[in-house]
Amino acid sequence: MSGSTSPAAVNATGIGRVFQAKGGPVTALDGIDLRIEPGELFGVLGPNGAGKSTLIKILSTLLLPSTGSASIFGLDVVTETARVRRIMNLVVGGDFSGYGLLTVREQLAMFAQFYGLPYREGMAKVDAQLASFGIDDIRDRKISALSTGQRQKLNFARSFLNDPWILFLDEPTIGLDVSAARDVRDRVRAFQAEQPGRTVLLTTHYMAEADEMCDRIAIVDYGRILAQGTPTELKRMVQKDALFIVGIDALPTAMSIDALRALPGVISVAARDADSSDPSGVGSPMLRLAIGLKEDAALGGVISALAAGGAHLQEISKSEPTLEEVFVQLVGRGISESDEVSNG
Amino acid sequence: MRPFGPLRGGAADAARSLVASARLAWAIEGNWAEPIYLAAFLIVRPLAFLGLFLAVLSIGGSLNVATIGFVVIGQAVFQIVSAALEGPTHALLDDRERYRTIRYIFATPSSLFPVSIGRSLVKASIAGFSALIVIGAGILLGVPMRAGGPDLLLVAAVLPLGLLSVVGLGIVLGGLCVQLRNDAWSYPEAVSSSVFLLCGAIFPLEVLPGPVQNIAAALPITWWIEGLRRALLGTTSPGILGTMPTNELLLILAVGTAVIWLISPRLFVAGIDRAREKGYLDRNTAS
Repeated sequence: MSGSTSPAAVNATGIGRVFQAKGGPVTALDGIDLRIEPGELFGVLGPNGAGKSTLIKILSTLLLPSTGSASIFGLDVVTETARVRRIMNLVVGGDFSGYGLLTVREQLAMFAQFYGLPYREGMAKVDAQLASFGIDDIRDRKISALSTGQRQKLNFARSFLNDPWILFLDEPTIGLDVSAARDVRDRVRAFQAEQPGRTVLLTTHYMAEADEMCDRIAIVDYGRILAQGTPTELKRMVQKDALFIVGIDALPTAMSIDALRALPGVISVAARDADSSDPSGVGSPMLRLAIGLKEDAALGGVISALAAGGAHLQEISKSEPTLEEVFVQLVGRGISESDEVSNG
Repeated sequence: MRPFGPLRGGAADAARSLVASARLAWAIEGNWAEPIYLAAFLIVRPLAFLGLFLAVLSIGGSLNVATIGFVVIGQAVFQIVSAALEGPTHALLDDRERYRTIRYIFATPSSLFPVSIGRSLVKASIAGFSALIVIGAGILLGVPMRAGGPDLLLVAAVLPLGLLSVVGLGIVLGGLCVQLRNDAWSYPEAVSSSVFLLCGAIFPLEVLPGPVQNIAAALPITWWIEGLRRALLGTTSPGILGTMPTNELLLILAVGTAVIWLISPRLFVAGIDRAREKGYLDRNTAS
């Protein structure tokens, strides 16, 4: 897919949304600018009440923006809703939606009709999705009898029926156990891999999920995007330089910490700790050096210098900040604290 | 330009949605743990109301086969009227508050319009069973039916027009009530009860105050009921209803239904658009 000729999967400019509440107007979104390219898995990370769901509702045509404009693959979400709805789908996590009295297959068949699929094609897709999500064995079970995980798999199966170009996932793994959440994430990845250009917009407040899945992430709070970029780029905002932990048996007698600091590309060197719990398990002491580098490639020079001095290398690992640390720096509080603020 | 796949489309979408929602409505309406309870609801409830009205007429000293026939047809038709008026609102609020599926349906290419109509039509059809029970009770009570059997041509003309008119009105109520909280569930019932009093279902229009009679005469439901009385009983109602020639009655019913369908889709869409603008579509006020 050519980026120069294809419209953006999502192009939002100055999206704002104000709700009228009893206590006065509440700003849920405040000038969101967003561009997501086809094929991306884009994450919107933020605490409860940050505006993530409102953004998805606007982009999926459920809600009108108060200000700004947005398009999905070039189709305006306000004026071209019928066309937008043909190329997108939506899954919201944590809800218990569904007609409890219908069977799994009946509900999917009904939605296949709503998506405008001819009956035979629709039923073929229903059966394919049942198999794909591993819920073929419960096809005739009433929805009221499904577990939370099964319901969410059904919800995902529904969302794939119309072969959406873009899938909006609003906290899709919330309330799921580890295994079910992993299944869902795997299926989303497979969905994108099956057809180049399929785009996913995922909102979550699970840092690890965002880090693991997303090509790019926007961190939002109080209706504003505070930062966006790849997970690596966001982490670089907190930690500009590469930081490696190098474990050696001991510092060579002819070499000082200052000598290491003087090596090309080295910014900082600090002895973190010395202990006897080296990974080889032989009980010999190990010195860990925290080495800050201008770039990863400078590590080679450091290792060579240590080896030339007679140090035995026992451990190398790259230390990266977590998205949680990025979030704390940008938002000024942890995501769990943010949720308490929002809920409280 | 597009990354993959054609944009589907086609006029058959609405028909598919209507059929799919009708199937759903059938499953919902028929979802009684024991069929005997469903049957009891469809039989006992309308007969109880019929008995109530006849008891009132009896106390007033005006109970005879003519008045029983008048009330029976009015009561029978109203089973369908109330179901069709309440159907779209119940469907929309149930999907929003109870099943929590409205966001997923709204986000499909299908409009909520055919979806609501499909649900409403099935509700009205099931209520048709109650209507037949009421008419059967009338026959057992000695109500003289039209000599030579029902005027099927008139039934074929009046029944679809009347049904269309109430479904159209129900759609307007649905578009209005989706903007309200969960307790809007009972509002169409209030409208339905008001229409019941106005449209000559249980007493002649002359009983109503003069200006209200004009409102009653403007309701297609009034002429639907009168048309069915003529088709099934072979007699006309007393007063102004009875003086209307049948062809003019059909014309009024047709024009009234056409006017409703000229307006109701626009009002429904305007209501849904406002709900979308305000954020009422995807909310839950029940919990």
